[in-house]
Amino acid sequence: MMTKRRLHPIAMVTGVGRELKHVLLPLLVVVIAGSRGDFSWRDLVMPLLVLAYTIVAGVLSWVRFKYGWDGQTLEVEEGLFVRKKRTIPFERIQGISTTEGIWQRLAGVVKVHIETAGGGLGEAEVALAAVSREEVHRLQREIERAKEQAGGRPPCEHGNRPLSLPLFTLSIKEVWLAAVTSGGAFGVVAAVWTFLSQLGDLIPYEALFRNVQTTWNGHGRWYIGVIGLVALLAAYGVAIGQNMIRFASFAVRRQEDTIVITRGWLERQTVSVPIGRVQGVMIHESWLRRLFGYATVSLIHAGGALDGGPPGDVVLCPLVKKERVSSIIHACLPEYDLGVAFRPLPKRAQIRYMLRPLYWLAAPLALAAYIERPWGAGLLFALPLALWIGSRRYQAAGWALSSRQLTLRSGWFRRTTTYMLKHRLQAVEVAATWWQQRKRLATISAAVMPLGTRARVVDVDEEDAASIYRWLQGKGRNQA
Amino acid sequence: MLGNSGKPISEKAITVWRLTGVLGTLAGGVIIGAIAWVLSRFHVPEWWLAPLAGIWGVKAVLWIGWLPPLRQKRWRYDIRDEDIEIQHGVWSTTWTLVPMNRVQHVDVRQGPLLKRYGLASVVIFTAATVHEIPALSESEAERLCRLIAERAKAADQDDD
Repeated sequence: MMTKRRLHPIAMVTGVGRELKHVLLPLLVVVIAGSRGDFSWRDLVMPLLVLAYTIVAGVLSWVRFKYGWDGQTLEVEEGLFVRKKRTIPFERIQGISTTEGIWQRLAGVVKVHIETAGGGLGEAEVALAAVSREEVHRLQREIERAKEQAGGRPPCEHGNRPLSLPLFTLSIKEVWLAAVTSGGAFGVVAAVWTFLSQLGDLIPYEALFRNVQTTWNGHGRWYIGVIGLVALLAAYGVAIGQNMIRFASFAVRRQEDTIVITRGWLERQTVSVPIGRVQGVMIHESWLRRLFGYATVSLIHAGGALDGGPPGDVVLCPLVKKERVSSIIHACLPEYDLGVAFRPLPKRAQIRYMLRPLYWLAAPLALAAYIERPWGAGLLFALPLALWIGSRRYQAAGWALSSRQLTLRSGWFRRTTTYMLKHRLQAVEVAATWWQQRKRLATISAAVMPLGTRARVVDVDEEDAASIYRWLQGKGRNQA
Repeated sequence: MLGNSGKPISEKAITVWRLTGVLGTLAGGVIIGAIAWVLSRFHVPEWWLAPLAGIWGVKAVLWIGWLPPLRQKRWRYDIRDEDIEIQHGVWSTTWTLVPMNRVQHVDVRQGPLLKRYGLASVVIFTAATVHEIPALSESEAERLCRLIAERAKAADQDDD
């Protein structure tokens, strides 16, 4: 029999808090824009109403939120006006991750994310905002038991497993380095920009712009430049702070058939990835990190966005010395072989790689150089630079094939190496344009779950591409 | 390198694609007409409609006259015990290989134009990709759909 439970009351606080965060800035703007100089109590009526509504709605949705499970399914009921009841069979649950925010920690509970098969339609995702640890463990055990019964695997002892030693952790220095080199500053700048552009109606941009222009034309170019730089640095600083909080106390453990990733400082997050659900391993090396000999390792995962990143991508090591990657992967996923010897692309592909950036750079650059004569001619120096980058991209690209694994590598600014096991490949595609066919080159691409995840290398030797294609073709007994 | 094997799709595909091309060209003509009308209201000199009309004409010739037979000629498919091979493309030739045991489900699809000519498309879904074999005869499409579903099930049992 299913008993329906409510979340821990702290969920009210976190729920209301989240809603408030959404309405706070618009409200502030409305109050400031509406008050026009002299303050009056009437300006506060609207915000107070919104505030009261948010709080009441938060409390009521807590009252309405009920969950429960029996041996087979998890059921969640929610909805303030539209009631929604969702039933999820245990076998369909792909992963459970838990987060502890500040409020949850105060109450000694965790937030649970339940992931079902990702990528497809009908993807269900459930979050239980405040559940005690014991209850999460009980739910996990029930799910595992249900899956074992369905899969026919012998049940193994669970209970309170001791935490195994972490396979990978980040030192404070590495946390800092990861945050500094993550390039998140651009994300912050973009977020600030979209926010400001949404407020376009309320802020007198035109007047502001005119001010800026007069200052610019006067003596203030340096002044504006410095302000812009400071703003950018501040955004960068915020991004670094955010990333440090995200990456702090990062640890990867292996518990039997699951990789458990814990991380976060103010908000602690635990992500469990069943090894059987891993679809591939990706190693990213941005040029900045490569300078220091570091790389980023992530897993391609068939579930949804487990750690809040893009779907299907779970960061295993945000920053790791290149020489350690192989041993970490070996401990987590022994099926993967990272010590493969890469085959380079044929020499005749180099010129195509070098010219490729020029196709779209040459015309605009030449035009700009012509318009901004004579100093604009300096822009033409970008052309050899583009050639050079093209040849670096050519050198970075490569592939490797073993009996069970395909490895593709491409990119230079951000060199990505993707390791895929044969029995995880969903499809392989070889494509050759007319130009490529003339040079006996082809583009090879391989797709793994989830939807839209594919690795690609351009301008592989035609015969090599064909051999990769035939490698997937099966056990050799093909009939037409 | 990978050769030119497999079965061709129905030759009626050419007719269907030509018709699609005609419809697309008509739609393009309507849009260009609308642009011309708006421009004439603003007294914009008319000479620059010429390149637009030129592009429209070239596109019409390509999509109605030239491309459909080439596309039909380049389409090839091969359903084998362990995999499906699809080959297509005029400017860029693409060979796609889908192992049989990765197939999740198969659809037969038929739009009004295809239906008019007794044709249907087979769409093959894996967990990560979608592949289409367009314009087969209705009976062939039905047969392939059943065949693939059956073989996918058989291959699935072999797996692991």
